[in-house]
Amino acid sequence: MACGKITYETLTLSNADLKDIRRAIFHSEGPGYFIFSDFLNSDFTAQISSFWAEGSASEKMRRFRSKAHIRYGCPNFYNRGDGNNECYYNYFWNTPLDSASYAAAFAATILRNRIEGYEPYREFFPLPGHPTFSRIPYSVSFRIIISRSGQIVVPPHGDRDFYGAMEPWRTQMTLFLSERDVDYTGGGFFFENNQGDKLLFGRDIDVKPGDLVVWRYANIHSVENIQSTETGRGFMRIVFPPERVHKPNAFIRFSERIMATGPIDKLVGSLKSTQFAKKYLRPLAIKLRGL
Amino acid sequence: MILELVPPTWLVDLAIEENIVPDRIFNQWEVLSKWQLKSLIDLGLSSDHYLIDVGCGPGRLAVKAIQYLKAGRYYGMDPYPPYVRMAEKVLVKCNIQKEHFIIEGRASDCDKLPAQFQFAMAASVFTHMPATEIIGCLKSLNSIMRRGGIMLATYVERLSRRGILYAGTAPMHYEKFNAQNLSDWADEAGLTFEVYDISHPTGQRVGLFRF
Repeated sequence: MACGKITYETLTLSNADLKDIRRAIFHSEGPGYFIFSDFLNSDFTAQISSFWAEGSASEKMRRFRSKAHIRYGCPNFYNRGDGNNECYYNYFWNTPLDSASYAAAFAATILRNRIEGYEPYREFFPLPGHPTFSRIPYSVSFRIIISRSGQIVVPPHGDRDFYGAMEPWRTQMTLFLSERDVDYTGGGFFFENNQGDKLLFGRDIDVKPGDLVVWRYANIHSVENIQSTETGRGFMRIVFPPERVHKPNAFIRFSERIMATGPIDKLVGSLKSTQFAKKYLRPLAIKLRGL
Repeated sequence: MILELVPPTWLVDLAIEENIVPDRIFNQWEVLSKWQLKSLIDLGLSSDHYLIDVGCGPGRLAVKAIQYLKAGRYYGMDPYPPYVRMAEKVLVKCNIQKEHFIIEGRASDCDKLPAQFQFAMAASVFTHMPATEIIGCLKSLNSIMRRGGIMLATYVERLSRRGILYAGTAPMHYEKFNAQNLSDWADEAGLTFEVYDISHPTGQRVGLFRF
């Protein structure tokens, strides 16, 4: 079998291999992004997009309430917004709902860590006290986002660090799962390059499903003017924001236990005995369960 | 102001040209370089003195110290060639033409320098050097520092030794660090060590080695 030499460096990317990529992303003469074309093959991409587009994943997730609920060991979350838009927040400490999504996110996170000059395992888990990582524990939440309609889906902004300082050395990644003018029309993902030009992925920059774009997150970016086509997929992608991992507090632990152990489910079941309970209390309990 | 001449984005470009990963410390150059020079002046550094900047990196202290000292009194030393190249480019960008010396070399090779120094600086250098190299550096400095000379060194107190991958690739150690370790190493090199109780912009501890 023909096989190149496999070493730690080939598995985790050497500095020499990353020089041109870093230049494209960080240097003021570079575009501010680098596209890993066909990062995922078509089968892989189709598996991920069909799994999340189908919509049943939320049955195994909790509704997202606030970032304060992100703590080590927390469940995966989902959120449904206006215009049939959906977001699925996944954490590496949970058993994957879709192995292809998890594996792709795992590989992409290693890639970003190496581009940014860190150990390949950074931000999978919080690892407080790690000698070379931020003192504030972060973990990547790989988010599958489906935007089907909306004018300003993500307002124009440039990301900063926890203290509000510019971080021209940090990156965000977008793994494209759908295609402009096929799955959605109008706008899409706008990005201001290192020269200050506002560009639209899929129109000004060629990109297709399965491509991974690593981009400098201090640059102004937005998602605007989306209209899903009849495929129904809309603008579908995975992004990989590092999120602060909070220490669990007693109230959050209590509320999660209530949701997990099912007393509200039991309440819903029992509220069928009278017309009053059926008409007024049961809908209220169902709403409460969905929180 | 360094910030006006070498803004963080320019430093990022310079680092990328050397395939060095951009560093969040680039945001703090002005604060750190000011702190470094002021701390040395508070200890008695004057423009007549000779200064050795151990692990000078891309020239953060060099920018201020060369301007402060008389010509030919600043020596910077770093074992990493890309940092030495970056330092020279930074000085050109800041239009610093006064004579200075930035030399590629390990901290334990200081004794090869052709000068005698009153002051030395090791900022965030001992923080990622093994004990043997720190002792080697102190011994080497002992032969080129004048009697009564002072080295200001920053460090991070650590309860245990940690192995790290610097910039994600280069294996090295963070030593167990406390005043007692530093005192022992100083003793081995024939020096004295004392904790210097001043605040540091990033919260590091500060110590003085006396020659």
